[in-house]
Amino acid sequence: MYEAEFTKETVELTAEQKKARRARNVVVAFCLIAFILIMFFGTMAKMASVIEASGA
Amino acid sequence: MTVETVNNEHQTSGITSAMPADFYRLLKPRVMYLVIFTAIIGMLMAPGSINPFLGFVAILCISIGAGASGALNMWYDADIDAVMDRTAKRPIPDGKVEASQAFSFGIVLSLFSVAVLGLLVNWLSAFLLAFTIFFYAVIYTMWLKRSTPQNIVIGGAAGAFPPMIGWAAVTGTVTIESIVLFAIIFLWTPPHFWALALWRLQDYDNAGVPMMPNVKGEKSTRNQIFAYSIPLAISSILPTMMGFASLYYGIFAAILGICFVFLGYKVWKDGNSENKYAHEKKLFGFSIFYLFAIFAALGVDAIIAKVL
Repeated sequence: MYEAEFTKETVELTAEQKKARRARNVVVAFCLIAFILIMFFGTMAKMASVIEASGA
Repeated sequence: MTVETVNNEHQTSGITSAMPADFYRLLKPRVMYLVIFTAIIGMLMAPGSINPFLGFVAILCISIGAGASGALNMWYDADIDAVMDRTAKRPIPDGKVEASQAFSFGIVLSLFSVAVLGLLVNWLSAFLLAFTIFFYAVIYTMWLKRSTPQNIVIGGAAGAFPPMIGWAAVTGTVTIESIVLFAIIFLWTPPHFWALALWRLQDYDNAGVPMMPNVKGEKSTRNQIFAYSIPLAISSILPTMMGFASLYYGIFAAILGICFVFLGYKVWKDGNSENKYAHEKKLFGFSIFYLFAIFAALGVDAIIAKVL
């Protein structure tokens, strides 16, 4: 009884809202991957610049 | 409260149908393109070099930071955007994005852009970017815009920082050369926006934004447009006079400067509402070309100087 009512009170997304949420999720995922790659390759590039500048 | 009521409330208040493109529009893409362009020129003109990948990161952070300040501006100005024709279709007044979402979006992007720029490039450029975001979102948007007709004069500094940030990203310093690049955009902003404000006077009046024509009148605004066009033309030839741009650039900038002053003079002498603000519209259009041409010429000049 309680479970049935609880289920009814969860939010029902419209088709438009589901489509928008999926599109936003894809972009957020892409941004997170891009962020990781930027931090990794940026750190490598910065380390290379420092080593080059120190003449090591 | 029925189940249907609960569902309806959730669907209308808590869940957004905003697409990624709506969030992208919060970043004011056209302003962002100008920021990217001027920042790249600042980096090209700076003495020394930067790792290409770190240069790309610097441009990315500067553009995202500028976009973040645009989102914060749209969050705060949603009320006046809704009553102005030019801005009524922005994502918040259009109902695509909620104001609180724009605020969170702007804050998150601000923090990320400044932190990444500081960690990967240098902390001076990160500080300048943070100051630019603060200046645009707080000093201009929250304070000056609604309180003084000098709003875009002082607020224009925010748009003038990008070449200085680009310069600082490469050199780690702020020098007189980068201040000259700042000055060109700073002096360009008032005649550019006041030319627009003259024929959009009613729009700004409806929104209660104290632009110069609404507060001091059209005559005073035309006087000031002409007055600003002269130091703008002089500032544009300073790179040659100070020795960090070629004579060819100086001649090009002088010709463009004379054209700008002439159009400013026409606005001052003949501008009026009877000819549907023809001179003002011409100056506004030319001012966009002017800034693009000046910075493009500086960029080409810098590339040639580095190659030869």
